[in-house]
Amino acid sequence: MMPSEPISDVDLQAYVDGQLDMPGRIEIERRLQAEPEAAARVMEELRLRDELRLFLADEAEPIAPATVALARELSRRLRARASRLRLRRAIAAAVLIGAGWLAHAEFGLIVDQVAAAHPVPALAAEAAAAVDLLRAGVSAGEGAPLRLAAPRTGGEVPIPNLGADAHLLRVQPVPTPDGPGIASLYRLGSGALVSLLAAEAGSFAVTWPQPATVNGRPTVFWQAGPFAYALSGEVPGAELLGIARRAAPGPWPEFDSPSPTEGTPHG
Amino acid sequence: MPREVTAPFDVEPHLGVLRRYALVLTRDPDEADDLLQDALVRAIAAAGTWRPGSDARPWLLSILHNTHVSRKRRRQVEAAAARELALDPPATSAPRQLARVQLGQTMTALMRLPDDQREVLTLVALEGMAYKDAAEILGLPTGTLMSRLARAREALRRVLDGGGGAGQAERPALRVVR
Repeated sequence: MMPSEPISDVDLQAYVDGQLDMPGRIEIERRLQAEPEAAARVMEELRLRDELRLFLADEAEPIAPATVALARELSRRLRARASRLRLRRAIAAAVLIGAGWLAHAEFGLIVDQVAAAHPVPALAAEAAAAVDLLRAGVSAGEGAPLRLAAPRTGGEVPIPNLGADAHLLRVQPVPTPDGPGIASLYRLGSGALVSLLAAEAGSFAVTWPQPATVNGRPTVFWQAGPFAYALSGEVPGAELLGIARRAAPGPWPEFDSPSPTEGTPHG
Repeated sequence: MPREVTAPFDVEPHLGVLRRYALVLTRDPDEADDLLQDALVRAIAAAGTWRPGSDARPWLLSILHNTHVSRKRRRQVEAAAARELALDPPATSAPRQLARVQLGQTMTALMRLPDDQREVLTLVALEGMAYKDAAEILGLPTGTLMSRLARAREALRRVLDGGGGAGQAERPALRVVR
């Protein structure tokens, strides 16, 4: 453009610090061809930067074990935070769906009509993902059940008993728009993992366990009065439904369950 | 070289850079380890301020920076109090043990610069560090960062050219000794 004009220091600095996009870099390089002195200075700056960069890429000495332990704890918290946000959406969907079946007219709740008509998609994908997310955080020795207060109902959110076959691996509190929820990961006797999500719902409803399959992972939802639940795992849908029916406070109407609904997430 | 792709919440891959940045800040390896641990403890307490999905590195660097600033401030207060009470000053000016870390000529020169100049040069040298991010980490406007950076470069060049008397005897290292 104007090759006679010297390149500004700001431009040179931005070039050395990698702040320019490709056309910007090319333009500076083209002009540097004509300015050997500036080019030499840039090369010097690049060398200094690279030496600093090499110094910063520290792999020489081992990191103190206490430091590594702190870093792992921090990673665990950040990972939990990332999955909490995912699960928050999952529980929100579960609550919404539970409300949608029975309550949206009576309770005047704003219910996503699509979610109410097709209760599977949003939650099923999230609940299925919860299995993997929680599994990532499994470490030996964890598994104390957590109690979750139900401020609107009073008392605690009852956590269904999945039976003697289910070994509790990990429990994690989960914020939901309606208040706290809880996610528990179990290992079944067969070795399969299932996750149970529980929360105090924003409305009162009673729905029987409803099976669905999303992305190949069976998921079952139900609401017991003010409490909403979702169960998902690596087991056949019929088995999962059986677990949910045994765990959910019945009695449930004895008729054939609706055929599992196939859905894909639409969120 | 492109940075290794890791899960955004994985902190361990950043420990090397964090420790070296701590060393640039403190100029003392033991102090640097202390500072890093302090910063990690703070980060654990402040995990709720991390935005999931975003790169943890700038977040960690700014916590490290803030931890360093508040440690420094605390020591100044302690030193002032000790002076007032005519006590022995606390070991703020502990002998620098940088000799334990082998530094090349460039890093030796860098370590002679004032704090604010070392900070900007180091942060901006990091691969993929935008001015905006570096400015955020240091709590500066971007314009201030850029002018400070220009001054820091000039100062570094002066030291390297012999103004600081460092490394005159040494030949420029072909390879930086870490």
